[in-house]
Amino acid sequence: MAAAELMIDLYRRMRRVRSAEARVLRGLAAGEFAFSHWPVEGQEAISAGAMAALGPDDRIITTYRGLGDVVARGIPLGPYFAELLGRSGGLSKGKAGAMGVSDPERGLMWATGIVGAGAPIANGFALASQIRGDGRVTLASFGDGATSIGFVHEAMNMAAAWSLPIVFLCQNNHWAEHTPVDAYAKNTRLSDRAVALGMAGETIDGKDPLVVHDAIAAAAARARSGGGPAFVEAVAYRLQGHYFGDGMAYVDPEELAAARAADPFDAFRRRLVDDAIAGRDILDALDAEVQAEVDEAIEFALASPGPSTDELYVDVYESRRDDGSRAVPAREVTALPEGPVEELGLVGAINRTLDRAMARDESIVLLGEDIADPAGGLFKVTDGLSTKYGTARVRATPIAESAIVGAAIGAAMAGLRPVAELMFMDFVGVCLDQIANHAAKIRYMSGGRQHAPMVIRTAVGVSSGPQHSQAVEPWLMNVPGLKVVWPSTSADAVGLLNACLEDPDPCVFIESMALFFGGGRSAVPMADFTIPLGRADVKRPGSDATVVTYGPTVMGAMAVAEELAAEGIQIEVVDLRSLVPLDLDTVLESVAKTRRLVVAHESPQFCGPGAEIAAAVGRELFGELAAPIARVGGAHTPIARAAELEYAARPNPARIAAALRAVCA
Amino acid sequence: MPKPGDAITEAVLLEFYVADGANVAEGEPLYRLETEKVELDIPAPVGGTVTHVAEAGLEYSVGALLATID
Repeated sequence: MAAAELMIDLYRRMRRVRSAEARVLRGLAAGEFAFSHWPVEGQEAISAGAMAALGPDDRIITTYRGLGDVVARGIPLGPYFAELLGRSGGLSKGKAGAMGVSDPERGLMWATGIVGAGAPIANGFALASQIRGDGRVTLASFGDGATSIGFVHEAMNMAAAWSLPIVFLCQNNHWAEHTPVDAYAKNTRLSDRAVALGMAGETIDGKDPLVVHDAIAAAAARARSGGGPAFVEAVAYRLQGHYFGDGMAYVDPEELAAARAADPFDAFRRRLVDDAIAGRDILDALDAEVQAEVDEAIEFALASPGPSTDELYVDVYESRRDDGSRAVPAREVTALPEGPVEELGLVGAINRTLDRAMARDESIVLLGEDIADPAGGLFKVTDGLSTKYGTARVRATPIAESAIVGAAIGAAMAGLRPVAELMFMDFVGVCLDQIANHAAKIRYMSGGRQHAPMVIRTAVGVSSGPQHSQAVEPWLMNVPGLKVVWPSTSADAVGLLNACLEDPDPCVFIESMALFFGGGRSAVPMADFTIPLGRADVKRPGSDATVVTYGPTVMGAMAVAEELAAEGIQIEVVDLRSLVPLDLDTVLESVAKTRRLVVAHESPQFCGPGAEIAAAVGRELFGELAAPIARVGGAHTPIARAAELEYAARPNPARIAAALRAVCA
Repeated sequence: MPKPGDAITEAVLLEFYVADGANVAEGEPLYRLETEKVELDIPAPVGGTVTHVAEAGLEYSVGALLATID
């Protein structure tokens, strides 16, 4: 682009941002509409310069303070404004609002309302580009406040370590919400953080769009050609409050007045005229054209109706589930295939399944700590896979769970099929934002335009103490958009993992350490097979009482059933296999027959999955039950290192047997 | 049989490095074991005369007695 042409292009982008925001602020002030808005006035040059420097195939991840990036990227203003207003004509049908604006067809892949959380996801897009060699660059845009949060540090370290084609654009507007840079950071030259992490870093004048353009263009070119990521800190000054309605009482009035007098938009307009790039008449005409576009877009948004409540359950999962988690009603028998079998523990079964899946599906990539050879994973689950499929597809990651899950999310959104490993389920807490606020919500917040089909594999430890032995599946069951799967046998692990690897929604696949090796060694058909999610399995038929359970507790329940059979009590053992979707039909069918129910699970009984199941059975079979429903869950305690306390805390066979005897008495 | 890893419940005694009835010094390799994760040499915890209890090539549960040292 010729220099003059570029200057006009930059002006047009800044003008659109300024005019769009002015119209929004006017409407908010007049009470014409109401929504939360986080102003960008003063930062237009950063968005305009950055967006002008990127190509149409490049990708952008921005934040809740995203109006500048969105409008400068050229996203259609009508659907954008409609999204801000929560209307059906919005980019996401009004489901996301200003905090979650995306338009994947135009390269605006994601925006987040969680400070800094977009950076790990941006890495995933860049990772997909690197694996595919598609020449695309991803820009992660965020504010200076985000440089304080772990997400950004984790993401920058991973990007540098892997030379990902990504540019981190820090829009330093001087304020982290209401707190100035020098009050929250000792080193206020934020680009120094890039140097510390081993990537190019520079601090530039964010009030000059040409400077920003050139810096981002250079960083993008370097990243595109394999030169690794860069961190560009563009410094400007936020001329409005943190949000519309913020009176800026915390700002020195003189400082603000000086910043407003040096308004980058006005300065750039004067420069075009002074340098004879464009006459005032040309700019006036351009201004009028933009104003007409903005006015028309606001009219479009205001005329767009709110979404029908029929939309409520749409885009949570790929298949609509009106009651949240129940399985779709189709019920087919899911017998394991006939033929020869091999004896495998859970580790062997999962390794075999991943191996075969990677051989047939090139989009599968594995991410996790230590998973590449020679380590092959802490428990050898991925042993041999990096040797066979390469370290591009089997990536040993930094010890940074948010970066791992975020990279998986972005890669999934870019069309890969990532399998992220969280070494222990306790670490879900380390990256719960990426799982619950992002992976689970991609489909909904994008109004069904995007999704993140991925598998998170994680282990529940035994004998590993309070921070490596917890079952926290109820946390995840409570997150709409996630599926939660917990096999009880090696054969089920094969079939269920295959189902997760083909599922359109993010799946958490839970592995019991107790079953990893000899403790779980059992027959697995040599042939490959899939077990659909949402199909419970009657592991043992019986007529006197039903035990509903899952995971390693199934083994205990089976032993108890054997023991009680000797006393003439016939127990039916129902293995749920997946918690979301939840096969209540099989549970109800069983309890309708036996009229007695014990629900058992490792996670704490209080507010655990057993409560949900008991409520459903109580509702559906009220009057049919011969005894009150009993629950045998984990104690409401941490899991102690001491074996005696761990045994007492778990739903051990003695407790299950006692509960069954009680309901059968 | 020791527990070389939280998930390990059993391991194979691959071979004794010290013959039945022979002497071993503390810290010398006594036998080699194999789990599904690793192969590992185990040193003699004390010096003395070794009496084999377990048989090389077989799998033993964690806690099983493999040999005595007198």
